[in-house]
Amino acid sequence: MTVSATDNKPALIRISRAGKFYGAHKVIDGMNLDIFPSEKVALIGPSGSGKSTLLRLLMTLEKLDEGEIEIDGVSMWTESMAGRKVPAGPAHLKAIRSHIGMVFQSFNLFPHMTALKNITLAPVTVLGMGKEEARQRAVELLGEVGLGHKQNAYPGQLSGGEKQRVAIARALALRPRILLFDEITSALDPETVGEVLEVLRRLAQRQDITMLLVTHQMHFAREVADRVVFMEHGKIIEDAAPGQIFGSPKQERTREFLKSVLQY
Amino acid sequence: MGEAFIVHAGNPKNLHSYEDVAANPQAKLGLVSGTMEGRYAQAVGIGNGQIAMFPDVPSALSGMRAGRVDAFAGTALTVQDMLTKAKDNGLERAEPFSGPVIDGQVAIGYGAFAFRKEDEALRQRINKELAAFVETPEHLDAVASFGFNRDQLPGPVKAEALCHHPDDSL
Amino acid sequence: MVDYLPAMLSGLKVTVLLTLGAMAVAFVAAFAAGMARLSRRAPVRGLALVYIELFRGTSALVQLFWVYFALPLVGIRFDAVTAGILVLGLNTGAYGAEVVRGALSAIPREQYQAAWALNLSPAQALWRVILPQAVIAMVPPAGNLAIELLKNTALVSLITLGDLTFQAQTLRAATLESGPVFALLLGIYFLLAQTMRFGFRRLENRLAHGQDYGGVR
Repeated sequence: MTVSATDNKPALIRISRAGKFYGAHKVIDGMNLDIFPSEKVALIGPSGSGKSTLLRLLMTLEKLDEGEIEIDGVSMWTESMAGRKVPAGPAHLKAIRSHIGMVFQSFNLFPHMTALKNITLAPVTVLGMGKEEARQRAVELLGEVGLGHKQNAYPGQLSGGEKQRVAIARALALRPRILLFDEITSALDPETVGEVLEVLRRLAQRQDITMLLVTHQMHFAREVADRVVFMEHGKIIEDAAPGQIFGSPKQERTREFLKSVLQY
Repeated sequence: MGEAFIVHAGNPKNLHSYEDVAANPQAKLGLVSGTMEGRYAQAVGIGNGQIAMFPDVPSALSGMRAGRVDAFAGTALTVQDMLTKAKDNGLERAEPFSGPVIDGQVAIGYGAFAFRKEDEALRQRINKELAAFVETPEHLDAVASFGFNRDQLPGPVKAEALCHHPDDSL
Repeated sequence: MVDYLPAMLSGLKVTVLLTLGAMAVAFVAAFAAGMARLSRRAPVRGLALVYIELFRGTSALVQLFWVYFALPLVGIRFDAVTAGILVLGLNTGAYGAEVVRGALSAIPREQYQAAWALNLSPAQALWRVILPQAVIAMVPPAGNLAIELLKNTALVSLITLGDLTFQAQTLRAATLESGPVFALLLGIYFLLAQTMRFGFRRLENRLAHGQDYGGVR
């Protein structure tokens, strides 16, 4: 597969000169990145390199300090009001967020709701979907992640892998165009990692979803991603097809990093 | 010792006796709980809804000032003491005042000593000393600062006339 | 003891009325102030803090005095029952606000983030996700506060109300039989407290349904 940047489609996500600080520390430092529709992009790099922060910025869980992020050509943090650019209000951010879903490292299921209820909550309360329609869709989604028999189980009754699969179904229920995965296998027991990766593998086949994955599973990044972005100190060091990054990286830092993580 | 009322200045509800309170359903009377005034109020037919029971004298005074009650009933001594200490132009003693009429007689409270039955000798000795002391200038001097004067002395009334217990053939 | 019953029953009515009324006031005050303490707006937080510290930092007896005896002097007049319910309710509510705040703060930040990522509004996140989890943690301390409130109702004789304790004291003064009167008083308070404990226990069990599987999110 070719790197989509060579296609003539406009970028779905455009990150320009983006900066994010924690105090004096620059977590994201003048970053430029375009992601095109239906791309599957893996973000790799040492911890503290800003990968997770980038996802949290896209989910609007963090505020951008400088630069710009555009989703489908619409600026995330500003809107125009009477011809003037003003900081984005709650309605604008809500509209932006409706394109984006996220799956977290620690699942973050709602413990007081069944698997089914975890999935139907947002479609019913956010999209105003009918309860029965939402339920049917949730049953379908649970079937897709192999948990059709766990509809009425509470999160406390599920294994880590099952919880993460429910979390993926929950994110899919809002039909997002962009899905963010933040180290979703890091908190799992080794024996349940496979079942979650299997679900991801199938998702990666879908053309209607653009995926950004932060992961430490290099073999998996190589297998499902169209493009691998290596980050360090809030900057992009190398951005290329998996074959090149893992086969013959151009940058010395990329080589060193891969050497250190792949010897285990 | 007779009874008295504290009322608001000018006695707006025109209360000059327990009977006046009973006759005016709008009037509210304050008492300190557990005192004889509660029994007087009940005896002259003042309804429970017209009575406010305060736990102590300071609360009763606060209740008067806050307008929670229209009158406060106490012994003349308590009432005088409250008014003296309160120094409040908004409050006054109800004048004239007539004590509650119970069983055809104006009720008056008398101070008394209590003895164990076996201490008969002590009782007689104290009676003897009291008889010699009461009404002397020395006695009147000693109690004047508490607001007592010759008016509160029992006069010719004897203990035998006041103390009759149903079980007692005395 | 049968002779005591009419007086004690009238006292019981006053005590139960005050307890239930004050619980309702405390419930509203605790949630309002507890949530206000976590507000992003500093004046809202400040107002809640003033209320909580004012009522926690002074005794209920003195608060009763001010509301019943002093407020009428500036033209604010509540009848004795309303004053009692208001003061005892606001007093308990001040402690309850800290229970509400504590329970809300104990919910992991990730739960808010998950709700945010699902595009729930802050109000939807609070009502559908955060409160249902936090309420379970609030129930046991709220039960304690309610029983504390029941016993605090004994203070209302200051404002001329004839509650259980007042009636017992009056009976004691009239009969001089402290032992039997106080034995009866003890029994009635104990039964009331046990009834409340049972109620809160049932509430806790009902709310916790489904979450007692280890609690891992």
